[in-house]
Amino acid sequence: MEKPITKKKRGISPIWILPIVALAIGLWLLYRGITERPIKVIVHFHSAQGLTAGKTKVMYKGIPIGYVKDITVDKGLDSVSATLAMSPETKEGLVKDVKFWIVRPEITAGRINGLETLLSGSYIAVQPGHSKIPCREFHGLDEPPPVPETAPGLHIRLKTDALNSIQKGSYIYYRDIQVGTVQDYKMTGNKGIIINAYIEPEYRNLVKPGSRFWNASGITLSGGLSGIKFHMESLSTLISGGISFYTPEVLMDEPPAENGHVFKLYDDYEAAEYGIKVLLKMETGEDMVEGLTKVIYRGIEVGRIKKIVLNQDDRKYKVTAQLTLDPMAQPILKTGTRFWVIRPKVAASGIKNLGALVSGPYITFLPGKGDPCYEFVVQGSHSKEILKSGTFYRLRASDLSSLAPGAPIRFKHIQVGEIASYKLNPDNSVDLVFIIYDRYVRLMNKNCVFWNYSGMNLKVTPAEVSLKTDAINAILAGGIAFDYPHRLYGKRLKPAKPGQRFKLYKSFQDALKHAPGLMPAGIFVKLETSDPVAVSEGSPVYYKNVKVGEITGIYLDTKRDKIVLAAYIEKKFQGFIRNTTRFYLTSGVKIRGSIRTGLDIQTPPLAAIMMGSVEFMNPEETRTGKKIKSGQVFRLYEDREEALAANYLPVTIHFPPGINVDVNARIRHQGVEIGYVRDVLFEHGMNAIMVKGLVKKSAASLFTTGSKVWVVRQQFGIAGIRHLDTLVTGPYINVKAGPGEPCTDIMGLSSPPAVCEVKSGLNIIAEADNLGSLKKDCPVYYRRVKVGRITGYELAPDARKVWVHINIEEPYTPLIRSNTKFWNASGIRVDAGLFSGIDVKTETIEAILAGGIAFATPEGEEMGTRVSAGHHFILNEKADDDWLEWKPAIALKR
Amino acid sequence: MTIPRDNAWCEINTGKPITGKDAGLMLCHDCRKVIPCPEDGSPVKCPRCCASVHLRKADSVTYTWALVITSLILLFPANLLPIMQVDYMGVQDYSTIMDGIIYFFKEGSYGIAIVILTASVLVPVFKILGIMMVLLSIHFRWESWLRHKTIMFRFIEFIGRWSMLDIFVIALLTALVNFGFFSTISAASAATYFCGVVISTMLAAITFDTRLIWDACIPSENTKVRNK
Repeated sequence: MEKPITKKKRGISPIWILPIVALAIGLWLLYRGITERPIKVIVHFHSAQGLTAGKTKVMYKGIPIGYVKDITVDKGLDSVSATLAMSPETKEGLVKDVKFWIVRPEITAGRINGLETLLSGSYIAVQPGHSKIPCREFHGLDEPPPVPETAPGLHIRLKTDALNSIQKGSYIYYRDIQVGTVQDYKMTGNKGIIINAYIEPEYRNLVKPGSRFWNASGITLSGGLSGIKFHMESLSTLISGGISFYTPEVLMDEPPAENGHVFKLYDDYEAAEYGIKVLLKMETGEDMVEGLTKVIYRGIEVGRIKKIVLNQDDRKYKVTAQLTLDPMAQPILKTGTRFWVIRPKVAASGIKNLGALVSGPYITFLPGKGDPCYEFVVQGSHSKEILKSGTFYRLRASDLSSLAPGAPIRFKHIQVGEIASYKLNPDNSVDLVFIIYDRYVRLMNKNCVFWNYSGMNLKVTPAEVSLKTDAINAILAGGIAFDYPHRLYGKRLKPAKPGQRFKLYKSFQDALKHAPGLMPAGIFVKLETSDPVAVSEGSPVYYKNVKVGEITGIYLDTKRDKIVLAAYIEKKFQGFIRNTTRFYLTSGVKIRGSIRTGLDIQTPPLAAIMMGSVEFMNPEETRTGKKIKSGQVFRLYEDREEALAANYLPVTIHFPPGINVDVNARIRHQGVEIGYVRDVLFEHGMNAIMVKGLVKKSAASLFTTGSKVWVVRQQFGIAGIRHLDTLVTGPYINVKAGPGEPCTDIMGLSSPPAVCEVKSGLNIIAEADNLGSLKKDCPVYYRRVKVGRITGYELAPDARKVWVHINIEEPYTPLIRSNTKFWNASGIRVDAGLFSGIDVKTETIEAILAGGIAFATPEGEEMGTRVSAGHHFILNEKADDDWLEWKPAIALKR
Repeated sequence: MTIPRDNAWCEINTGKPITGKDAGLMLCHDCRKVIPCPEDGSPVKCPRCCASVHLRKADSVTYTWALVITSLILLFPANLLPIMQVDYMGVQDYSTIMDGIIYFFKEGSYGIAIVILTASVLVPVFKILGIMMVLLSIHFRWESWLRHKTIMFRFIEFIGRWSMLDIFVIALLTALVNFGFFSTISAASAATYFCGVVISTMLAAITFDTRLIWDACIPSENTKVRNK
């Protein structure tokens, strides 16, 4: 058998290293356990609530430095002992004045504390001591100890009468930042309470000996008619109380307060006299309310009247108000600063300072220059502070009118500045100082003309109100407007010097008289009239009811005893004015109408009705007239009619008495109006009437020696009603042209002429034995078709016959031949016989009623030739039977 | 002939009780070559495969003693020091093995408490005590309860692999409960010592040669040879 390989055995097995290492570790752990054995400390607490033996830790600055080892109840059962195992490092720190307290979760309205203990459980907090005597038994506190006096930071005392809601731990605020806490408080006999407060080191410089502390707890509500003041601190102070303090800016350079400095704690913000004391002397303390009347600067409340006292020694200023102003107002308090009282003003011109009506009068001021000053005198509110920057100019006016500081300066209705102040000159004129805002200063030049805008707007015209509602503002506010001649617009003008003085005109019209260039480009015309006119300056000028200009002035030409109106016409309408243009006055409503034409109501624009206006018209649509220049004189007609009739031809018609014609009755020719009656007069002897009329020049040819003129009025007859329209319009005068020389003085007929020559068609005469029921305008029938009419009748010159004038209308004229038979178609003819029966012959119903003529023309050669006008026929009483059978073929004129 | 299972070894022993040791032979554990025991009992190597060949595990008792003592020492810090650190909402909390067991008992989870108690406290202690008892019985050649001791040892070997339960739990919790500020679990110093205890007891069980139990009470020449 092979021999195994043998190997020498070594000494002690290396495996023993393991137990040695383990032993070493064990020993080291043991050593550490012994040396780092926790230090046993006993702390007595009133309550061990929240403590758990073996769990609850002792924390210092968030680091566990021990734990509660055991909790036992002390003898006497009035406290518990917690045995704490403190880490060995704390050995040096466990001295006599070390403080222990239990931190429990605390959620109150004011704050949330120890929130972490909600999860980790309560812990014991430690505040290190400064003593040198070691100690192992302590008395725990129920709540966190106050910051020790030796801690860095500021320890101050506040003296107060009542604690209010301030508690331990209430915060101290500086400008709402928490800068410290209330440490504790104690009674000092009966005198009051001393509160120990601690200010954090980084804020200690904020507290100066002059700082004011006040109780910032809760809501302060004070009020009266002048306003309700509501002051609320932060919500947390509302519930848990708090203290605020303020250090005036002026004190900021002073050394900070020392530890232990005693401050007075004021009851509230107001009492802390948070602000600068200013004395304000005034003549009367009327409307001033202590504690409520505000000092407002540019809408910001900067203080209040704190106290009002009577002045014994001052004769004029009997009352002195003590103001408390916000320290930020400090730089404003200079000798030049002016104070005055703003009171509500309710007047016809408007309500001013409406806010003051509700909030009560208040004091305002205008900062001035000079040295710091704390005593002022209330002055009149003559000036108003200009809130915008600009350049000042001056105006001289004869009186202030309704202008007041603050009244706007307008340029084209845009406010470009305002009145700053005014003063009365020794010569009793008024000087106004006004400002033009920077961005509008370019408008100011030497040609500027100023007028009182408010004055103009006091003449509230319907036109102005309805067209420019913004003017209402101006009416209420008053103001000044200015402008400069329009031709200078856009040109580089020499700017006005700051402070330059201008004249203030009373109105725009007033200004316009001195500076006509203010009107936009256009022309001026003069309108002359001898009658009083119902227009005024500013009345509009219309053309076809469009406003094209206005009356800028009314003068009396004493030499010629005429009224001259200056009318301005805008440039774009200038072209409508020709030398033939007629101007006339418009006012009121005109209604014209007839059954035929309907009602024609002419209303000028509302403004024209109210304030009168001037219109113009061009007689011919074509602009025949020449262009005019500015200053052209026109006659001003009284109304449109007169204007229209300006170039009519005057005619005189003499009527026999008994006619009924009114002034303005129309004059017509063949139904077309050619003129009207201007006047109706009695002739000498009162036995004739003279009618004076105006007719169009184009109708002048109608008036000749042979013209026939008569009055047309309504006619009622069995054949119809005629000229019914004259019921409404009144009778009119009809003119029928006649031969002869032109004549404008003609005789009128008392009734329409018996025979009317009709120019068209064929005029023939039928000779009848008697007229029968025939009348003028009775129809003429051919085969019962109306082909003409009776135009008149007259006795034959020898009186043996009646000549009936017949007019056959144009297409039917060929029907009349030399052998044509006419008969009277009026009425009914009845032939009755025993054997022949009854034979009734009628023409049309109209013919039966009104009468008429019928005719028939024979056939073929028998019909004869065409007749000329004026041919005489026999008018038979009745038709032969064979006439009725004629059926000639005659070509009508078509 | 049927041999009852329980009496098999007795039946065999009643015959010629021959062991390899008695026959002066030993076996190479690598190549299974039978090698004669060296006279002086010094360590030998297999002539075939050059592996170390020994009749019994070399220095088995010494190794086992050293490891058992190591584990015994480490047992104290493992149980006294905190094994787990729980950070819950920024608050640190340490707990020892016993804290955990007490916690579960208090909570009423007796099952879990018993499991932890068994696996973390009783088993290591039982292992250490058991191995020490076996070692002492060899040392003092106690001849009673041989078979029971062997069975106990097998049980110790078997249970060794479960004694890391605590470490597994902590490892799991460390991985699972890791929510930063809200809660974090990490192993504390005792875990290391506990690992030391478990590892050293397991090693002690491995290094121990159970045949020594029997060797101690069977007086033979070979034993004498070994004891020289």
